[in-house]
Amino acid sequence: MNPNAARVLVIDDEIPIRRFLVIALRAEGYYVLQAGTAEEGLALAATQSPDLVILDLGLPDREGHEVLAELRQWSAVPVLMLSVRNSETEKVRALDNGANDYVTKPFGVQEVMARLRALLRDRTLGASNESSLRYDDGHLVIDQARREVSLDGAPLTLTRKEYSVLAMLLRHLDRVVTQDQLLREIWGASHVQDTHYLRIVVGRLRQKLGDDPAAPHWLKTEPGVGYRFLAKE
Amino acid sequence: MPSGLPAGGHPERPRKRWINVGGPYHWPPRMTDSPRPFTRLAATDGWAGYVYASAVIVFGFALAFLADRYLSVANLGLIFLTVVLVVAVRTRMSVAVYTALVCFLGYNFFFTQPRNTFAISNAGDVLAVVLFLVVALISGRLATRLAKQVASLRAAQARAQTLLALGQRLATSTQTQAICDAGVAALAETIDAEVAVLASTDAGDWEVRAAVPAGFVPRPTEIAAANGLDQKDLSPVVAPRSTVSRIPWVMPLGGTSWRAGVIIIRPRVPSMADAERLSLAREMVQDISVALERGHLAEALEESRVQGETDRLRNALLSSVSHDLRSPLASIIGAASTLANYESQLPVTERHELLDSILQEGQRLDRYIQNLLDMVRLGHDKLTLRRDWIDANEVVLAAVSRLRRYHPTVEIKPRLLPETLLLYVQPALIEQALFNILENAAHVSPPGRSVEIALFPIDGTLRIEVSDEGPGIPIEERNRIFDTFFSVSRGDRAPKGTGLGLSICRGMIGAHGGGVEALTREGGGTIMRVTLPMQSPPEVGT
Repeated sequence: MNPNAARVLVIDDEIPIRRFLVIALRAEGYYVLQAGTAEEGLALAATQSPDLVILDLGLPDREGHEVLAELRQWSAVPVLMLSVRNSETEKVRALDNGANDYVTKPFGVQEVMARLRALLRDRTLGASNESSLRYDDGHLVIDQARREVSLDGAPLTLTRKEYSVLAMLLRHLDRVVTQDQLLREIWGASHVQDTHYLRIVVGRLRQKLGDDPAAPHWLKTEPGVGYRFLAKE
Repeated sequence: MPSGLPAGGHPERPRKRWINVGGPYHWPPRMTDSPRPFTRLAATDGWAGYVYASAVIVFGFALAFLADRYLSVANLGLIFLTVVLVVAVRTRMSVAVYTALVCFLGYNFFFTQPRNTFAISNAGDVLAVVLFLVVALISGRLATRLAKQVASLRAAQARAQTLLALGQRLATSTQTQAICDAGVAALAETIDAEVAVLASTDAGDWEVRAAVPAGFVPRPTEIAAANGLDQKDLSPVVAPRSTVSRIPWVMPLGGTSWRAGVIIIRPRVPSMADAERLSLAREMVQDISVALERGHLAEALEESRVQGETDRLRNALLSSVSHDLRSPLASIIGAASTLANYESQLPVTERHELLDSILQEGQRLDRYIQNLLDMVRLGHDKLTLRRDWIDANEVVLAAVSRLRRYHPTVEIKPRLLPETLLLYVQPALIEQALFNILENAAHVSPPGRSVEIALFPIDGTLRIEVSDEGPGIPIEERNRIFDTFFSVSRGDRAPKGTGLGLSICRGMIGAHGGGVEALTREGGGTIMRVTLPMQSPPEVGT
């Protein structure tokens, strides 16, 4: 096995779910660690320094949120949550508490792999931020160093807020960013309730990018949670 | 009323009497079958009083003529004094004065010197005559006052009894219809009237909710009165005084914030006693209103309670479907998508592992759905049992082997009976119930510990006990674990399961006349005890 393979820790008490995740992750070339309880998982996270943690929110011994909070006290490892809950507030709570992304059960294995790749991208890119400063998928070009955006060669005029939102989503390419995080960073902590600001700005951005919210190329709404900038395959 | 009749008797109801001070009009708020003690008093009403007085006077004179031979004139005066007193006490003032005058004249004419003239020679005799008059006036007045007091006491008591009886009838029910029926019946009997309760329909019309007689049809004037009342939204329940003269009486029915309808009262025989009747009717309507409001509140309360229960159940069902049906689905979809994506790269063992996973999770899903369906069926149908004779050991073993198939890692120790014991049950249901209990025990059982299932025939019943060494169940939750969806409501930290298993188990065992209870196992853990009644098996023919 590739010694440089990313180490993925799966914490889930459901054996069948762990089973297929482990098989699929190994097939993708990851080095897999697994745990059935929160205690076991935290111990492995502390001793085995995984590159990514897949954490089920419903564990038998402890709340997933508690596990996340404890993990975050000493580790910045990316965390992908698994949840059977429909409740958006649960997801938002976990994301705001330091989880990096989530998948809702039931999910296809491709979905997990896509999230995983997005979360591990920073690691594979290493310290070089050069390429992440410039986004180019052939249609949309975003040059963060010069704060310039162009669509199919034609420059776009964006307001400061519009650009900030786009840039923040781009920095979390393929990862969900909660409304709360966007509002807090771009408008300030006193405006976290003012979700209508965000709606208006994203609406204008989509208009300027010619992006259809029903079948988005770039800006995907995660209902009740936030937004995601989709990477081109 | 003819003077000859003993007053107080209603022509149509001679045995039932009601004393009324207001006049010689008789309506029976509360039928009293007792003719005493007011017949005597009542007998002195009208001309009857004079007849009575005359009789006493004649008797007095007869006595005086007899005594005349033996007694002095002064002593004869005492006889007449007694006559005046008797009549005065038992009748009213005018009769007493009449008696006094007759006695005075008779005494004067027949007995005082000179006899057979109205002249009086003795000054003492003048005093006697004056005494007659004074006694007559004083005692007549006293008697009248006493009669009035007694009569009004009687009336008050009868009224209180009427209201008490109504209150008791109303208190037995919180149902609007029953209260209306009872109230209308009581009013009709007491007031001697046609009575109906009208309730407003959704269309804004009035409909007769309860009525005596049954074929009551409200007149246009009554409808108009009802409409007029209802517009004053929060008007007091008591009808205005002026309605005394307006018959029929139309009064609002309901509380200060809630209107049940109106009540229409048509007294059958209009009379001078209507003021009295109306005031009683008003009090009764007030009582009915209070009862209706109480019923209304009780109904509202019940409705909200049922609603709350339904909501709770619906939420539990939703979270059950979301959590427990999705978990196996998540495994199936995950395993299948892994196969679809990586099939060519995977070794055969892993492919088999995934297929196995899909199969098992599919079966788990099937069991959850079966449980859900069973529960719905147990809750709504009369479950008819298809009983058959079966060996208890066999049922237990069937459940155990099923569990071993689904949970191969859990060690189960069955302690069977040494000999055959026949149960008359529907085997599939008992097996499912035992399986649910075993699965529950397997979930909570710590790794490396075993689950035990044992049978004990005791006093015509069979006990089947499943014990585990899990964390045990807190006493306050002992009964709630059998509630539908209980484990789900505890959230994700609870052991996996729909929370339906034990509820269904209790339903199935209960359908056989048995029971399930949770007990503490000595040394930690839980014992689930199933108790099933045993029947004696039929004789085996050889």
